[in-house]
Amino acid sequence: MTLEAEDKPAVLEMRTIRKAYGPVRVLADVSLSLAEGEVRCLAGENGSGKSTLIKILSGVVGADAGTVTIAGRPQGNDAKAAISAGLSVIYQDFSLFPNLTVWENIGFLAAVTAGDTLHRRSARRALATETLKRMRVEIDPDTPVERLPVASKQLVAIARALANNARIIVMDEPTTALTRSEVARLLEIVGALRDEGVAFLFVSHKIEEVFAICDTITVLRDGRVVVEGPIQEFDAASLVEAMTGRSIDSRRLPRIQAEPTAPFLSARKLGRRGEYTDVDIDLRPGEIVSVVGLLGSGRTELALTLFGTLTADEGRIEIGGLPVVFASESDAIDHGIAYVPEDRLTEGLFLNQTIRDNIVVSSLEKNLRAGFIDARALAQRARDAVKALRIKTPDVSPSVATLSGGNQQRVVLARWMERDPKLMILNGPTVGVDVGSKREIHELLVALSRSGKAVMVVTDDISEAIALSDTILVMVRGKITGRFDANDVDEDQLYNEVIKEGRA
Amino acid sequence: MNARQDTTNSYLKSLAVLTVLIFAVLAVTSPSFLTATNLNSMGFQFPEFGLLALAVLPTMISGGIDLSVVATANLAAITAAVIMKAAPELAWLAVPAALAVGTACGAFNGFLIAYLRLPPILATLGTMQLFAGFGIAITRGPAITGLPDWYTAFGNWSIGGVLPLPLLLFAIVAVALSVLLRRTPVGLRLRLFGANPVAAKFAGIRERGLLIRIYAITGFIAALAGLVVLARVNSANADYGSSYLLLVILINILAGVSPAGGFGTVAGVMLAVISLQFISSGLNSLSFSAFSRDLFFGGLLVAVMSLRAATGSSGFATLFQRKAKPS
Repeated sequence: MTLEAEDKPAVLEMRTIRKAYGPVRVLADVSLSLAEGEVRCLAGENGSGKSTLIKILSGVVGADAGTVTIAGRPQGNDAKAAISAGLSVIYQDFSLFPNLTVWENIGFLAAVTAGDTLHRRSARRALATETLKRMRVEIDPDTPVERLPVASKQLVAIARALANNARIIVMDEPTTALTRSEVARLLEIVGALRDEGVAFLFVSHKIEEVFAICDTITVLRDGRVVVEGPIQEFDAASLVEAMTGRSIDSRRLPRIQAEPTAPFLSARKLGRRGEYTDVDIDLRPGEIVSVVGLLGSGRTELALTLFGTLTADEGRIEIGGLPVVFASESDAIDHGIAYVPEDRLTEGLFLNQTIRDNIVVSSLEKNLRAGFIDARALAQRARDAVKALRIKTPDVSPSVATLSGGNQQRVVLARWMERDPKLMILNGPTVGVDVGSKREIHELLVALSRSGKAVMVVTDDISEAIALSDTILVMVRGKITGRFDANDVDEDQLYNEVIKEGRA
Repeated sequence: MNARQDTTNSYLKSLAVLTVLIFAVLAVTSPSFLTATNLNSMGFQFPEFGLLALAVLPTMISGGIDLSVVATANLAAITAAVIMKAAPELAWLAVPAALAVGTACGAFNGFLIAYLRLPPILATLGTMQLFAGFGIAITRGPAITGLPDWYTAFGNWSIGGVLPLPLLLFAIVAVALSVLLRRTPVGLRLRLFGANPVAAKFAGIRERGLLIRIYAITGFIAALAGLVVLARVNSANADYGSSYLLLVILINILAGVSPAGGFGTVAGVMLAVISLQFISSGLNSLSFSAFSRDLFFGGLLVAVMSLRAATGSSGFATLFQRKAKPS
């Protein structure tokens, strides 16, 4: 298949794409090409620049330098032109209209491209049924999309792309929410379409998915292409190494085994409708517990419940043996709980405000004199925190946006350490953080836990969980399906647990 | 405490230069501009809309806006006037009652925004009509006139014949608000909340209490403005100063306050107020008609906003959004 693909003309060419957001370089000289009927995988860890590349490709975001050519036509920063040129991007959430029927969704893109001024009901419906037939998929075209299972929604999204004569289909983490049989079905359809000459670009960081689907692969790391080539040249180990840049990452950090103590916080039979159910968890001082699960497994919702952002429908939370109910985040904070959110840029930081304010925001009362802020003491405290966490900045007055990802994450950590919390919950603590900083943040967390704090880490990064934790909980479809001592489990075993289909 | 971002500082500097420049040009071109009479009359004119501009400032830093300030000021003035006329023996109550009404109006705005999550621009557009409606219901339309002499004397009294009392009041409020914004937890949290409400939530800032407090402070300052107007014009009217609203927003925009929230200083507002007063007086003394003032101010508002949009330091879209909720 690969050899055939190489003979065919390139339908997509991206050359020396460069992009920076402010001082942060996201992409550096990235080139990528796709031939007719080729299935390529764009692999890379979170924060490696995959999504930015896709946004540039689809014309949503402009590149600082470099060119994008689709079917021989150079593209600018114009999403509609890219769609007309035959490109279709299927995002993780599919971007379908849930309240419209299957055929309306499928016909929509074609109607926009054709510039329909009137709604051509019968023509669009015919187009939709024909497309579904071509894919050999049986979905009732009159069903509202919201009533379909996830796998069918994905097929509708593909059908929508095809109905618009897409020659290139980009899919972002296509198998995340699918069961194995559904993945097999998807692969069949992809295979059939490939034979018709449709090119696919899969965006993924899941090793298994990559090997199951693709002919060729491009690996991004820190905004650069590190390797590319036919899939046969890779095995799982070499691919992981290419993506992460090291094989040492999953080595466990050295630590003194903590003495078993009474839990600081326990949850029993905790559940929230549609998100997670029957969760038992104990968080002890001096112990790091990781909750590992895929996107949509309920891991984030569980963490947010323990921080008071969401409320549980059932079960109870106890602190020091006494039941508690959190009305809001502030309640949880008053109980000594800290939370480092998943998305540092939109949830964690006040980007255009000073480093100082970002650090002291949750502990202003420490520097109050008669109700007024002692500005000098406040700044000094921020400077001390910067020094203690080795945040690289000349001073605390520049805005936090000027820092690199790893240093920004340390600012969020510093904010909570100023409050001396008893429990620190971290959601994806090293997403978008470079390799060196990642290790340092892990060391910081281990030191934090050994100083007697309970630490809970929520992540989908298996090697991170193994490197960091004492106990690992695996979460699948809203349930804790496995508990492991991080000493006795290896990556493969854990990986298989995490992607296990729901048992419910 | 250098909390401002560098760009804000340089913007303030250029605003200061602009103010001095306008002053210099008018001082040279217009013979009547630099006279004591003119300077003194300016001192009586700008405090009332200056106070209203200061009132709106905290709400804009929080990423919101308060369109009801003028209506609140009028309602407070009407309250005071009614008390003074109806019960002269309770006249001492007039001022505290007016301030209480203003604060309550503001707190009500805060409630709508914090608890019902109405977009600030729509919530206060509604209450603007509501408060003005209350005013008309109380006065039945015409202005309330004939206030006690002791009260109106305040409006025209200069300390030592040099410093008009309204100007002094404006200065006191400016200093107090500046301290509040820069030296208190409320001020700091307000700015951070304006910069990123979602991060504020995760940092444990209690959004509801904060918003209600902010809008209540705004209502309080608006009521002060209403009392100044009442003393100066010797009447309370439900639709006084309707053109002030746009002027007040213009001042804040000119002052470098970000409509998207997170930035804004009292110093900027003071400079903007003063430079607009200069322009207004200058046009007057150069015998332009009163209508040309609106033309000039409208043009300036559009120009400043366009300039800032072009340099990428603005985000008006946030005014129309609800506060983002973390998923």
